Amino acid sequence: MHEGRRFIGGAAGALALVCILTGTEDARAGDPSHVALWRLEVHGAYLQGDQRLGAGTLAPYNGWGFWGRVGISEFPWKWLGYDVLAQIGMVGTPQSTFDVVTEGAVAFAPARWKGSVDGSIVLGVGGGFGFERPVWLGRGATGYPLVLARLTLLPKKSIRFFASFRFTPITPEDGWGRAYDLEVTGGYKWWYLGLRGRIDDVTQGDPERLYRTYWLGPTAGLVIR
Amino acid sequence: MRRTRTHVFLLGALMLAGCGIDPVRVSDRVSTRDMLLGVQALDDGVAAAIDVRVNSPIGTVELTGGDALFVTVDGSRRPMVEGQSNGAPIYSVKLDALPGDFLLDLERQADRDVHGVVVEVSSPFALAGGGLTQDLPLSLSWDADPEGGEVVISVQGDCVAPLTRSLDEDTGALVITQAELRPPPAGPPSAPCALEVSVSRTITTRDKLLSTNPGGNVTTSAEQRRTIAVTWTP
Repeated sequence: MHEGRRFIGGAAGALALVCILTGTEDARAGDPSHVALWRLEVHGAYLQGDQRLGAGTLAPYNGWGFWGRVGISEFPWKWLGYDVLAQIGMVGTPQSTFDVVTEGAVAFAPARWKGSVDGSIVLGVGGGFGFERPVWLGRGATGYPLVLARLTLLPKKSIRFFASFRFTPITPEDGWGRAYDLEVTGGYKWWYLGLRGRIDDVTQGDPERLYRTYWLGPTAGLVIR
Repeated sequence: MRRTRTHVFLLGALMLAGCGIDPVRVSDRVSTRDMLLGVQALDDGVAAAIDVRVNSPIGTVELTGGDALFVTVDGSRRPMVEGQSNGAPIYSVKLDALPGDFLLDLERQADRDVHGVVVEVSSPFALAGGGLTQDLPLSLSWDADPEGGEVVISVQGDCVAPLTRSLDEDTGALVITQAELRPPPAGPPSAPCALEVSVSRTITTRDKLLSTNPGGNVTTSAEQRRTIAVTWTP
């Protein structure tokens, strides 16, 4: 009897949470602070850092990367939506190779506001699938978890700034890796330009130590929605 | 102002392009398991020296962060002193002689130590020579050591083209006829001339530093060399 009450209470709580997140109304596409963002972009980056050679030697390396990216962030409900990103490109290092990544996340919009500067904050939790990063780890495909955050500011109807951050811990065969990805952009009407930086950290080897790669480069894109 | 901006831009572009990236060859960045120690020891009968180079996948390494090499010769442990050779770091110890095998230790502050690497050295020997008068050949004799490594005899001087002989087996003796002493391209000498004759015995080895895989490597080359002067009147 007692167990049954607990079950009903839990189900009611979960239902209440879903109702709060989904809200009673859709995000309006015309709303300047709406959180949906569909975009196409190209991104090039220079990389420099330390890769592992042998059992545990830090070897400096550098290279470049070039990608085409498609991102869709959509909110069918007021507070709850999804974020999908796919990218395909080339990475030019001594292990120069093709790169492909797909990531998806359940997205929440805990804050959106109107004022002199409209804006919103989106948080997401999900996962991704792609080749191991950085490329010196090898060319195995791997799945990994993802957390993301995006801040959008709209000072005018035709001007948009957004900054997004992604954290992807990737567990390679030996040790553990994580990537921190930060993108800051500013745009006018449908177009935007920005700068994207990434830090790939891998802790492994004998002795165990940090192998860090920095990426930095411009990004240019088109906001579809 | 515009030119300054251009220079700053070009400097930034060069930095971004990674120009001048050179491996930071310090031992802090190299695992012991990736190290290759190259040991060279020479006792020439007058003095002896032991030199060690530390190589790695990123090049010749400078020992930093408290990392150090030591040798134990005849029961006495000594630190090796850093120097430069052809622009690369080298670690050396000067000695009076190499009486026999010695031990090498690599001590590291933030990685595995390696203790007691045995560097094999052939036994010291004395070299005697005679002959090279009238029609007599050059007769050399020394203390043989069948397990003393590769034996090489060399003869050089202003009046002969350099001559080198390798022995398959250390017999402790060698005879070199005058016919084998060829004059240099400039022509045969007309007066007595001084020759330097040396016998060297070298033991070379290659082994792993650690039992792991990879476990690093150590290569050793220890040479006992004795040189005598003889006079030849063709």
